[in-house]
Amino acid sequence: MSTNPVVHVDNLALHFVSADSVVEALKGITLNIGPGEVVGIVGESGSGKSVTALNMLRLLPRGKTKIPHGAVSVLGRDVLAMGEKELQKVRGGEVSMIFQEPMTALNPVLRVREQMFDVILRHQKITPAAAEKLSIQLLQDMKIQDAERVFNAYPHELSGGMRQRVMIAMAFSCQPKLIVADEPTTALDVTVQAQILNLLKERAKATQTSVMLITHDLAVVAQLCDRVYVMYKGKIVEEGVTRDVIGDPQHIYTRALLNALPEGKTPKSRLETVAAAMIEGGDKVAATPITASAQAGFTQFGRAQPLFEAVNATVRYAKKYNFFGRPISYNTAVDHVNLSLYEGETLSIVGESGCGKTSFANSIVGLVPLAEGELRYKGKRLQDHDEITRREVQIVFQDPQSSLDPRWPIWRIMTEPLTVGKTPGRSELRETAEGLCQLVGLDPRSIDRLPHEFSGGQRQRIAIGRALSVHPRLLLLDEPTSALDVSVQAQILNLLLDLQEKYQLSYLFISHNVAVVRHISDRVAVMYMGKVVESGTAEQVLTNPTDAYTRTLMEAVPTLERAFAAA
Amino acid sequence: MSSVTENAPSAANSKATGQDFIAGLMPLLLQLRKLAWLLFTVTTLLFFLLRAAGDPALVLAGNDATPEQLAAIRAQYGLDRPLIIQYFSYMWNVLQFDFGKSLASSEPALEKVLDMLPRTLHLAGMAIGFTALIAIPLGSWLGFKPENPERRAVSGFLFIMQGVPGFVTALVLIQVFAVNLRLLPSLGYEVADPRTWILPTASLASFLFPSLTRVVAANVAEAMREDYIRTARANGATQSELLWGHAVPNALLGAAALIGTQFAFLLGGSAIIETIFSWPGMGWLLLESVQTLDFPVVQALAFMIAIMVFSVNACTDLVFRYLDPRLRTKGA
Amino acid sequence: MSDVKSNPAAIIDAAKNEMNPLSVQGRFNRAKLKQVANVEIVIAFILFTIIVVLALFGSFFQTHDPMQGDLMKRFYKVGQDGYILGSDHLGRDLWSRAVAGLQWSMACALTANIINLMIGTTLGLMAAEREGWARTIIRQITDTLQSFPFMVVAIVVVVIVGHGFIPLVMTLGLLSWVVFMRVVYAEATSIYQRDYVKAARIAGVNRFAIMFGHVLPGVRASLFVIFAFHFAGLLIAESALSFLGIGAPLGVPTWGNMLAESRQYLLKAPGMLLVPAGAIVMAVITMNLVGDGIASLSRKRGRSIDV
Repeated sequence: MSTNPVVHVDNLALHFVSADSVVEALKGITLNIGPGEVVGIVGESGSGKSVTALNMLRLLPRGKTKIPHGAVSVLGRDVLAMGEKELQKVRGGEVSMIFQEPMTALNPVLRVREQMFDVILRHQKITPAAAEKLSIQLLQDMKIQDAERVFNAYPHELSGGMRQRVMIAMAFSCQPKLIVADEPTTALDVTVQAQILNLLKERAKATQTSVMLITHDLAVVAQLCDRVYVMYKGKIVEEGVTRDVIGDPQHIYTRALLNALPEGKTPKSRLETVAAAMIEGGDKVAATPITASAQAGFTQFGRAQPLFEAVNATVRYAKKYNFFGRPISYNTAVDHVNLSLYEGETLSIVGESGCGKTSFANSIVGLVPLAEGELRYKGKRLQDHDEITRREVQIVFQDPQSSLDPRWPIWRIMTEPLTVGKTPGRSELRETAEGLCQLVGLDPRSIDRLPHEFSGGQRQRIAIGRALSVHPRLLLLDEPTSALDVSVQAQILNLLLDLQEKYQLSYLFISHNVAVVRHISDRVAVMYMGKVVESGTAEQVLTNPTDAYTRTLMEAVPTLERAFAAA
Repeated sequence: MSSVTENAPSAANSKATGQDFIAGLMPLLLQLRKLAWLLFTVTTLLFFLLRAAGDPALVLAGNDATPEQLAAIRAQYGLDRPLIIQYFSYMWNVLQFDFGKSLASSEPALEKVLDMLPRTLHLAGMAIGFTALIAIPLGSWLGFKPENPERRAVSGFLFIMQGVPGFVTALVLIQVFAVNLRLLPSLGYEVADPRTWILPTASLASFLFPSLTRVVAANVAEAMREDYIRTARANGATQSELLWGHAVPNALLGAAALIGTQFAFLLGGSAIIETIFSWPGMGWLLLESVQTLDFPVVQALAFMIAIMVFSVNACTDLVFRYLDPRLRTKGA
Repeated sequence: MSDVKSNPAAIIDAAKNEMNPLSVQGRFNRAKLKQVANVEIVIAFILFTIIVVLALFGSFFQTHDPMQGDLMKRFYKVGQDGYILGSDHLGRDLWSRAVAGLQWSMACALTANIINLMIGTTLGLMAAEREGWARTIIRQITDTLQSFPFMVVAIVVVVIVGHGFIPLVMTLGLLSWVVFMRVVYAEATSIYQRDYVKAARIAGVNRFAIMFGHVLPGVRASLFVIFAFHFAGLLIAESALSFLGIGAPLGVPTWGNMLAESRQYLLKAPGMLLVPAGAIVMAVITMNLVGDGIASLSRKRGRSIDV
């Protein structure tokens, strides 16, 4: 580390205060960033990493925050002592920020031109003509081919990745000494993420700018950062050179976090969870060994009749309507998809946003009609089955916020499917709910609580419990873990594997997360623009892809292994 | 959205082919279809409603007419035909903008209405201008920091203002400024005398001003919480740049949808205000003709009001389609 | 966690929820009451109670017969000779008349509002549930009604159907439900797209069970809020129509009629204007306060309960 750090945060504590509560968001953190250094701050939600980032430029509302002790100095000057005027000079000038949500971070009614001028002309004494030249140069540096068009475009005319490039170009526009990037690629697809991260690294190296990268993704840190700080509940629990911290973690939290990652673990093995590690304080580093029945799962395909089959399944959405309101053109979301799924196996559909994987899932459960083709369950068309059999296909949604009625106690939520067609007694339902709670690892005494009293992972358990209430054979899992923290993700994956083993369930697992898919799947299908471009066993597709798109996808996925291989 | 084809130019720069031209006309055609439907419903409903209310022949002839006189009048106006025939012949006339003659003054009904139109527009225009002039800056100021004590006090005052019905405001204003202080005339309309404009305008504006200010304030407050405000702050924008450069334009575009309904509300209010101040506009005429059962005039009035509200809606829609870049390129 | 935006406000909220996830749980207790009771809500509650008591037991508080005047006692001042708020041009007690007016207005607005609520909610739910002819027709009707100033419609219809309580209530009740329909439609549409409704559909839950189990409870809070605000709007509409001489029958003691009568005596007896004007303003502000109060309560609940 250099003797003159760009950033020096010393024993900083920060509290959120309101009339009735005080929340300790930061409990005394110390960190340094040297010139030209790329430093990662990694942690799960609630760890205080975003608070740290926003506080670098004093962007948190002053009336609602209190700083009991500590100091933040940027380029040797005390940020906490600065007035608003001074801060405005630092913001965007010496220190700039990149935010997570490219879709909302740019002002929708101003063109890129005006927004870039806004920064450049504020901090630099140059003519508008020179500013325009500079802007276009910056955009070209971000590998934007038609920089002129982007420069004159409104944000909504640009894709998410393009907007994030614009944000980065803006961040570099005034030759800052430090860029604070708060989850800059979390909202983007992997292929785009790979491009953006490379650009960020390249530009930082080229301009000798320090970068403070806030992320939840250890693989991203491994790929990009020289050093890393690991945060947990408002404290920094571990710091050091990235390779050392990730290769040989010292603190149990860091170790647990790494163990919770599916990457590099035996497929279908149970992952260690952070909660268990933190509570037991145990030293269990190795993942539990693969079980016999999970092993059996690999050898199951090849049976005579698939449980579920999609034959030329096609979903179209109307795009344009004529004068009389009849659709005249369509977008094809799912394009002649053929898939089959056998009893007790997990088939994953991998793809990026807009590839049609969610439309496909919705068509299976009848939320969207098929335009062509058919879906067969146990050899018969799905719609020809009676209600009871049809209900053997259940779904678990991605967003645990929206998948539970906020006004219902969870016993009602979990047993709702059982009330169809008959009216079982209240006590009977509550008993069933208690059983389901035990099944999915929730306290049976909590069945009278409302969803908001549960965390994201617990809600996802409730959703799984609801799906299980009707004894399904096939579960559609639509990105069930992508809204969750890594450690919670590990718990849910373990639960899913346990349930599968216990009941021989079949899973259709939909995800964009290749590491998770590799961990849980027997077979994998890759979707791109509505079509299945490649399918086969997980090992085969994910390790030796033959399709060009699949290869691009696999190369874009950040992994610890590759990051270290490259370094 | 984002995919591997990142760098491909978007479809925004498409060429103007014949199909695009028709596609461009689509919004206009759809609007016209809506207008036609609206006018048809309004005219039809009113026709039957008015017929149910009373016999036009009775109104024409007066209360002490003999049966022979009544029959003569019925024959003269075609009122002896079956109702459905009358309806079709009426609709046919309406298609040619002929609503018949006013039963009170035997002028053509539509002409009578059109005579009143400029005065109503004058009053409404002044009220809207006055409201906008105050509501936008005041609302922006309030929404910028809604928690400040002095701004909360102003909000409270606006809340009370919102509880005072416009016609009550009008009466109190008359009491204070016309009766007690004798500063301003209490009724009448003189084109040349702006003093006669003040009280009606203030009264009518009081219908809109408090609620509009509160809406602007709420929208600005919401815009201030948006991510792009945070971006601008992180780029070093000053407080006033944040407000006027970023939050207010977005907030006002967001409030655009309100204009149409507010205009309809304003026209409703002007019916009362015009009556109170004897301002000879459409609202005043409406009450006059409704109470004397002057059916043709009521019909023509309803027709005109429907067209006015509709065109204001359509125009604001068009203007904001032009002003709001998100709507501009999205098209139909 | 990827989807918590690094927005300062969101971060603070998230942090607080994590600290105190059960803060809203539990039945009514003092701590909870303290938490929700701000000044506005207390004022709203007091005013509302006064209005309800006066509306129900008005005759108990009236000092005189509101209809019966004494020509010897015209234009009495406030408090003169037992006339709490003075007397009017026919020597009738203004206070008693204002109370009678309150009863009339409340009865009228309440009945009309209930009709509005039922029509608007039913149509809104029907239109939101699924695409089809029902949605098309309902939206078409709503658009038509909405593109017409309500006051204009009311003036025309009320004159035609005639004076009196029933015609007035029916006019207001049958023609001003648009706001209910629009809010229910908007909110129900969004609820129908939530995953928990999808899950219920997939499980084969009956459409009415979904409508009454998930959707209606979801819009209930908003319905209360609109009910209060719309109540205020109906009070204004009713008194405006009476003021124009086309609502309540002439002679009936209503606020609108009282205002209309006051116009000839503005110089002589400002009380004739100020008493009914004050009454209307108080009633409208009370209902607005109640609406605001319900809205802020449901927001507070919603912050931890809903998304």
